[in-house]
Amino acid sequence: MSLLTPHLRPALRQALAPFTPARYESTTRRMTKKLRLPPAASFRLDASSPAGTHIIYNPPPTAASVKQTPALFMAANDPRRALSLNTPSLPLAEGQELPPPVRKPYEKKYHLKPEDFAKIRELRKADPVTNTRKALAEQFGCSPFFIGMVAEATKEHKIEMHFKQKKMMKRWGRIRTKARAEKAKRKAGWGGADGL
Amino acid sequence: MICLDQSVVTSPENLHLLGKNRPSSGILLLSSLSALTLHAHAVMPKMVRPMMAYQPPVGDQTCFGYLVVTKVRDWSAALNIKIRIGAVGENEWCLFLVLMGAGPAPISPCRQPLTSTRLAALHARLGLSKSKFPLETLAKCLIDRTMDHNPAVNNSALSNLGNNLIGYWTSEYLLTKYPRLPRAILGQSVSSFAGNKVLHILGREWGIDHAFMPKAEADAGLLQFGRVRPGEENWMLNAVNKRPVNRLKLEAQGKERQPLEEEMGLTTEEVEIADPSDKKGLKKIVVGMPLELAYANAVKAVFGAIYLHEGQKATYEFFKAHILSRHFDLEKVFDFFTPTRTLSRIAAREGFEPPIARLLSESGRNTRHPVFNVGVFSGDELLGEGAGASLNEARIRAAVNALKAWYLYSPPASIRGDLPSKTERDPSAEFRGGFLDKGDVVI
Repeated sequence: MSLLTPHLRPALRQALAPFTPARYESTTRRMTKKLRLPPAASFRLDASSPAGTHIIYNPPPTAASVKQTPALFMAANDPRRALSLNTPSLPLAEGQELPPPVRKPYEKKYHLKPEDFAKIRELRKADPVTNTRKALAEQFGCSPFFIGMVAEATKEHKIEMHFKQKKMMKRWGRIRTKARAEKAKRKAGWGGADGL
Repeated sequence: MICLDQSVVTSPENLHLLGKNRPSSGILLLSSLSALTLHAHAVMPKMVRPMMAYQPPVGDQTCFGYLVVTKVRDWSAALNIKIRIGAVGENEWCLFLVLMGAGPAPISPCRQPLTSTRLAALHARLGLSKSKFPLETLAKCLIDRTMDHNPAVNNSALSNLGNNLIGYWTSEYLLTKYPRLPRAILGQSVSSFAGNKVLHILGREWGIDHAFMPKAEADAGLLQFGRVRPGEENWMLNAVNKRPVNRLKLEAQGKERQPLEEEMGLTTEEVEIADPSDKKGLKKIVVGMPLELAYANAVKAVFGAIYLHEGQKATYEFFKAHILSRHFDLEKVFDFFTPTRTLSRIAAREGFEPPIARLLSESGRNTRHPVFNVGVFSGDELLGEGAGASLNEARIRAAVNALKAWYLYSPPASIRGDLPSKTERDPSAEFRGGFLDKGDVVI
């Protein structure tokens, strides 16, 4: 394997770079000096600043309010559509591309026929242990979620899986059990219930 | 609105069809349970007390309203009281004689609306019409059905009327202002805006105080109701559902019914008041009422009473001043189960480009506390932004914010429709219809 393969590049770069302690300085004085930040540009007075007392408007960065409706969501006859003021749009420069997608975008194929659905249901019913959602999704070229929509597992299989999972969870220690419970709690708030 | 046949949509064989761009797929059907409940779920937001102007506290003796107590002490005023009361019971005669004999003696508080300083003060504090809204009605508003089961005397009818008015006006206000609110959110918002909890607080703010275990001679200015017995959880169901069934069964078997008192565990007095000709028997008798609900009923009854005495216009003004003026954070009510899917369905239905989550910025990916800032884009338009400690969290929060922006769309005044109740208050007024949404999506 070449040293220049992509996943090794950062390590290589780090190894070749001159030694600079990144996180701290050896003395408090140096550390304090290092942490000292210059004031924000908007707070600095220059020749163009007003002469008298004035208000500096420099709010901290925050997410846009949901009360600001994107123009796309407005009714066709909404007069605010013409004004781009109300839209939390990104200022994209000429030729600049949109930020990278978090997940790889894909197109839906809609390639399955009713015969395929019948076959999926048949396979799933016949042997739910072998023909899992994932296995069927690979076989038919669609998502596991879609398989679940077309052919739900039988009740018996669901019960069996439930107890299998319970048995596995029993082997968790105190720390993992607590961490999982907390994670589930945090996740339950993402839909808006945590009020953030 | 296009309606799909519910059985066709929800049958398992056809579920896969929903994902396709079929005509009318994803359009709300009001009867579809999944459309109404599955993807959006309402949570009760934390309530914030509104800033209100100073109001004199309960029983503030510097505020007698327009009841001048000294007037009651002279003979003519005492006679006036008798004339206005109309039906004269034993208690009233006693009071009358006391007044006649003792002259300027202090009046003991009793269920005499015209002698209660609290009641007059409350009447004045609420700004009720002096000429149209009699004190006796206000006293009636404060008598709960658990205090007096006679519906002619208690506030049950008035509170029912008030409840309907408040519910109707609150929901029409919310739907006109936010025409895309999902039904679950609308229901929760109405109860957060003007539900029993809020009306209880409102009653307290008005300065209504309650009598503890009231008897007939309690001050008419106090809220009077029967307490729920300790440990009684199903206070509403004490014999409500069981009673008619048992009775019919017994009658069919040709057996004699048990005496009502034994069956219900009620006192003789309560049984006598109930109407024996009523087929359902004592179904509606509730012996105890939680404090919160008793307050809420009294407040609703005041709304109902204003409606009857002063008309709809005055009631609406009162409603605006006391309920619509309260701060309510609608965006905190939302809780989505499947935000990304819901957003995709909306985009597909409306013909927008499919939403794609894009990473706007990040910090500390390999540290213990990473922060990712993700935006959901349709084409090159940003729909919503969310921050989170993982890419998934940020992506989901961004979809939630985009959905909130969609559902909380509020048309500006120039295209917003009129309130449907506008023409009820003024029949000659012109009604302008507003923005109507296609409705919720089916997930």
